[in-house]
Amino acid sequence: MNKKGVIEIQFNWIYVAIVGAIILGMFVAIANGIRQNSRTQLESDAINYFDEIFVSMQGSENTELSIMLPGLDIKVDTDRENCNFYTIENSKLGGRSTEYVPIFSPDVIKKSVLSYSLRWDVPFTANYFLYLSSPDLAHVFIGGAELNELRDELPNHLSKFPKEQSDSFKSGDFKNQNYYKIRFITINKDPSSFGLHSSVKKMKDDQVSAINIKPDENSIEFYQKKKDKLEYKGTTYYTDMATMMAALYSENIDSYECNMGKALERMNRIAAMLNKRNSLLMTSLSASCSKLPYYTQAQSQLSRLEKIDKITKDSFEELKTIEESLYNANEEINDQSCPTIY
Amino acid sequence: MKTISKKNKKAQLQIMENVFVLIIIFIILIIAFVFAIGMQRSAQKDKLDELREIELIKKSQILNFFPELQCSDNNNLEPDCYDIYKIMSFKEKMEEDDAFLRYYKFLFGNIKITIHRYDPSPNTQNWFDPVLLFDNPKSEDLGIKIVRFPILLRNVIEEKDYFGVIEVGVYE
Amino acid sequence: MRLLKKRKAQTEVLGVAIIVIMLVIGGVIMIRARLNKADETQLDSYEDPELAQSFLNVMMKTKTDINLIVQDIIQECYADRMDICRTGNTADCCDYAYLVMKNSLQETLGEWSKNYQLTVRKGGETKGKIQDISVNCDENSEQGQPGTYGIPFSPSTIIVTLRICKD
Repeated sequence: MNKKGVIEIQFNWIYVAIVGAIILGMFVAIANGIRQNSRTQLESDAINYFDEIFVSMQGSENTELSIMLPGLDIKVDTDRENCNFYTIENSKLGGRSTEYVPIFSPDVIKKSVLSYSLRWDVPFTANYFLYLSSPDLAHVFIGGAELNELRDELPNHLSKFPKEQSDSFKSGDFKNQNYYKIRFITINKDPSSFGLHSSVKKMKDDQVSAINIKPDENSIEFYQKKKDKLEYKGTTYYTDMATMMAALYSENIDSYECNMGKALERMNRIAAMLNKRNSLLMTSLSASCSKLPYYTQAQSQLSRLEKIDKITKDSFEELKTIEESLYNANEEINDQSCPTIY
Repeated sequence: MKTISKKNKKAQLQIMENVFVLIIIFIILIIAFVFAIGMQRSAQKDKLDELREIELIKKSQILNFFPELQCSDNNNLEPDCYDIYKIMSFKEKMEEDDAFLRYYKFLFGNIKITIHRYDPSPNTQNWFDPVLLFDNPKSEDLGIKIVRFPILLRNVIEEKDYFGVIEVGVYE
Repeated sequence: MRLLKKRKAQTEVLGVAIIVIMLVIGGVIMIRARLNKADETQLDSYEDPELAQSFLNVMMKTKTDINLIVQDIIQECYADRMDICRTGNTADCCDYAYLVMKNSLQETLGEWSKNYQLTVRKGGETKGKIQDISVNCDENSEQGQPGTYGIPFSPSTIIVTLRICKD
């Protein structure tokens, strides 16, 4: 009879343990499911929110915006052939298309999104550029007073070094203090001769880059870290501050040229539409306005603008010439109180 | 013999009691689970409706920053103002140039843009024929959500601004 | 002894019954809370404040058949000009401004089932019918952000305010 009592107690405990484990396991599984669901929900909300922001930012040119990223990183496509998507890193959600919005940014944005927008005028408004960065991305200016103007043009929310621009500050003086990316910026210097601080040398090659701006040639050279040095990667071109800033914000030359391609495509369409408008206007102008030669001049300029679709030294020089010509023509027409070309 | 049988039956009843308690707990949990799923589904439906409306707002906002149609006085773009000659040119270009049409189909997505002009003068009070500027419906007709905004319609030749309404419909 | 055992079983079942009742009551309360939740959509909160201001910006600059924009007609109304706005349907500029604004509001906001109130004031001074054009809406109604438009009229300013009221 005693032995029967002993077996009964043990059996009860085994029974309780098994059932308890099953119930506990169930709750753990449910909690895990809820956690995953919340994460997906957060990612989805973030993606929708950014989508909305990127559309409305276009109208807020010259406005600095900072958006916190709650434990999420944004990944932006920065390949030459594919610069049309952004998504949340490590997310199973599909990306959002940026096929028509030129977004100049690093490939990954951490902690918070620093955004800025500028209109691109050629001289009519051809597009709105969106610039994205992160406070954990260091912009290091190597050179003297020639960089002051550029520094002043850039938004204040960027992490800029040194605090005061000075010739005595060298690239090797910059010590990395937990920045995930570093971009060296210089004018008319050779970044391949730049020395790097040991803390910068330890960083991965894709985390350190440089650009060298050549204002006389309207060109920008891109450099990428390779082991302990900065290696030349290619040269591209810009026309004005908006495009220069675009190169400064871009992850690499491919990303800049891909997004500029989007901008040029829209410019071609708007030029075509303005050309058509110009023709319609010319049939209805008053006698005094129709005598002005500028409308006919504008037609040929706009036709040339419709064909500029590549980023080369010649094409961008042509773009600048047309821009100046259209601007002058429009000013003359405006002075005569006639309907303007743009 | 009778006593042993009674004791056996007593033990079986005791286990059944535990089993019933567990079954009831599981039934309650399942009811709660089904209820939670139901609430989740309802919340998801609300979320989907909200997303559709956000999509509508986004599409209509594209037109707020649209130099292709906006009035521009020496490149000073005016909000809430559309240039009649730009509207005419844009419409004509879409009709005659496939590449142009394709580009804007991708840019806008499945939306419909109609422009209405109204003369509120006491002696006229007249709606003009609407201009269908752009229409890219989906293959399936699941309805359309519409947002309307008042706009100025500028005729640069006549130097007049007319009262207009732009209607943006997003296909669902 | 037997009676005690019967009562014990009944108490246990009662316990389960109480849990079920609590669940049902909790569920009913949650459902009611969901149904009573205010239904303002993203569209409502976005559309109305933009609409009131856009409407005013557009209407004030609209050119009419007497070749004046609405803003100028309101100015002429306060300047007591009669001749330039005298037409078949209107005696003076205040009349003209009133009809233009009323027509615009009716044909747009009215047709879109929106309730609105448009007021025109210069300091404390009001002028005839243009001082208030409204449909089911006043300062005390629940409304979105009003749109305002200032028309210079030396030495002060004529303020036109448009409110779009919620249903």
